[in-house]
Amino acid sequence: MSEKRDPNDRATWRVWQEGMSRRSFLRSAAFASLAGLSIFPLVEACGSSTAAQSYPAKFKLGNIFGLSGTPAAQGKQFQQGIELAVSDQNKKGGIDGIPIEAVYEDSQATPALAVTAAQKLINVEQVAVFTNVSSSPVLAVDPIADQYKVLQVTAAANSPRLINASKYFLASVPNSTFEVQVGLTLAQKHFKFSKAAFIYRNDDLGNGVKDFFTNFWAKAGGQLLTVQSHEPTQADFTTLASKVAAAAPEFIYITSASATQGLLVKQLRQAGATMPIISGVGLAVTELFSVAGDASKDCYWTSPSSSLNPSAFSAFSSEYQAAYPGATLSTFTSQHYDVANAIFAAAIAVKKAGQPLDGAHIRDAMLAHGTFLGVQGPFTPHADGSCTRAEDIDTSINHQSTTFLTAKQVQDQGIYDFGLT
Amino acid sequence: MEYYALSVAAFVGIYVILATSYDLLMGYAGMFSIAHGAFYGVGSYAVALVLLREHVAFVPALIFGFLFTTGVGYLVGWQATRLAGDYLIVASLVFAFIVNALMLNLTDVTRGTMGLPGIPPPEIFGNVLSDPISQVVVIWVTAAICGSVVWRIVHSPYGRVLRSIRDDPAAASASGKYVLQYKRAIFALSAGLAGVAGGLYATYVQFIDPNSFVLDTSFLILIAVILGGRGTFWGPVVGATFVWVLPQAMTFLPLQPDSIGPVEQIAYGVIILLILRFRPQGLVGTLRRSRTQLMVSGPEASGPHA
Repeated sequence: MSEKRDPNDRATWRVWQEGMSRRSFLRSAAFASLAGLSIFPLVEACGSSTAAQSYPAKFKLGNIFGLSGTPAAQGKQFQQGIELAVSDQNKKGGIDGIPIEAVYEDSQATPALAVTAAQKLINVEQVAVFTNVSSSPVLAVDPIADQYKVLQVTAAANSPRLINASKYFLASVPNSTFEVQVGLTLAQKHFKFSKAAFIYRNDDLGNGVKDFFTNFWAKAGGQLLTVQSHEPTQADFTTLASKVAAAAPEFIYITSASATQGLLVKQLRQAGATMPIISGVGLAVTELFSVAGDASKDCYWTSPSSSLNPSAFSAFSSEYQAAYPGATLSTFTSQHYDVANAIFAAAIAVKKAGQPLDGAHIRDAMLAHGTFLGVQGPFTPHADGSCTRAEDIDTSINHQSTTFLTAKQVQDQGIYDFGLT
Repeated sequence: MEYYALSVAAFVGIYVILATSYDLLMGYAGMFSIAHGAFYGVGSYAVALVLLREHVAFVPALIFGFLFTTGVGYLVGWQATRLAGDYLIVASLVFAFIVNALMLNLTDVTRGTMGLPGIPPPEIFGNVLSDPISQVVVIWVTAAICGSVVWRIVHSPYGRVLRSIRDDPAAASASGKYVLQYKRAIFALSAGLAGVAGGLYATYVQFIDPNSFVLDTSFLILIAVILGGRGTFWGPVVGATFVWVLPQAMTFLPLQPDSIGPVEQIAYGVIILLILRFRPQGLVGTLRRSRTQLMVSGPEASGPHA
């Protein structure tokens, strides 16, 4: 491809008085080309493209997580779930005889690094499917997944803007609006509350949920007494907490997902906001219990149901403790364990059908499979990037996450119909 | 596999524009600003918005991004260039915060934290350049054009004036140069070129949000310039290549899954520290000095003069 120089550029520059010599331009262009090409040998030395074949010697599952910097703590939890799933499936024969290997790339939860990570997974590691987390990196990678027809799956990103963003994107977790819907109906039908306060983090998740929350609660006949936001890195919530306490709502709904939530809950209680707090699964970070301590009482959050497959969840908990002694099992770990197993199940179906193990066929197989039963209960990915998942309501008792209402009870009480029989 | 290399090459090209334009400011004019990442963001949003809302073609959009960011740079530079040293750092930091706050809160324009998805890839003469090779060619051709602008400036009498302002502003002023005007012009031009890089980023990644233009971006540009050698034309080019290729090379280290990320980051940091310790003039700066010393003093000078 070539591009002509725009003659108007010359007039634009007062400093461009003598005109650029052809030689200097060619030197610049030549260097630019060489600099671009110089990295090829480096990459070439690190891998090689193989001739196209239906079934590779290894089934590689790519994973783009934040493995350094602030998101590293959660990244570790995601990674543990994937590692356990790969280990378990390999013991069962992998993908119908093909061993599985998990490949990780560190995106630091930034879009630019996620793009290069996706390119590496697709073009160097030759993956047909990869997991990704955080909405911005997922959105940045969407065009690449569509271009190469490689399946991108998330077990963590749940911003409303992910719906219908890409054909090659599936989720194993419900969209955050789904959590809000269940949480607000819980407040209305179970607790008989009508006066709410809403706190959201000023990020894609919080802003995405804010409009939905406002509309849904208004249609449900509820009163919204105050709406407060905080920055993602904020640690001092005293002003915000005082305003919420002064509004005297019957309950507080929090949409957030970060390690500072323990501090937020603690400072709300200290400011006198002792009413129940309702949230999505993002509230259930370990810091809720370790930092908020007793202040975590009377907090309720929706959580992928572990009550619908108790034996599997119990076995997984034991396996986790054996693999990572002393660590606390996170919902995010379980969800990644589940999503990896769902991918493996779809890949096995593709292989048994004699089809190529590519992103398109694995996507179709996941959608055709319908509902997967994981250790965190059943979930159904949909083609538009949404997911239906039965949710428990959990609460904090003795600084530990405990089931308050099972998904079946949530359904029986008319809070939400998950379609459970 | 080559598409991955092309992806890295694309980001290297974008950062080459950022680093060479920043070197105009810091290396040649002696102004230490940390707002370059913010100008990169301003250009990115400007190009993305005219592409998405006005549906203009790619080249006019990129030119608009350049002109808009140049204008913003000139307005900021109008006052900022009156400051020097620590005060300029603080002023540029404040500007970066303001830009970030606007990106987050002007939701009707920027969609705030939701970002701008669906930015179209470059389209030139009716051809949509969505394939990786074409996109990289577009980026590197633009980088070559921007580089040639910088080259022309730094090798012109104008560049010599800039260096004199950097080395001794009072002497430059005493010799009849309107120092403030020179500073404003180069501040604006540097910002405008960063805006071009932002436009290329927007059309390459096809999604932007405020998180893409945080202070870390400014620091990465700063590192690229210092590592390569400030005040040299090729230094920022080498530095930009280094700061993008090295972390990617690190990802090929055969690490255990639980050490991926931290070990890569630590190794990257250690290498940069070693370079700063043993080659404080930067990779290209050191090479230039060595060659000059050799030419002036001859091989026998390597002992006592080294």
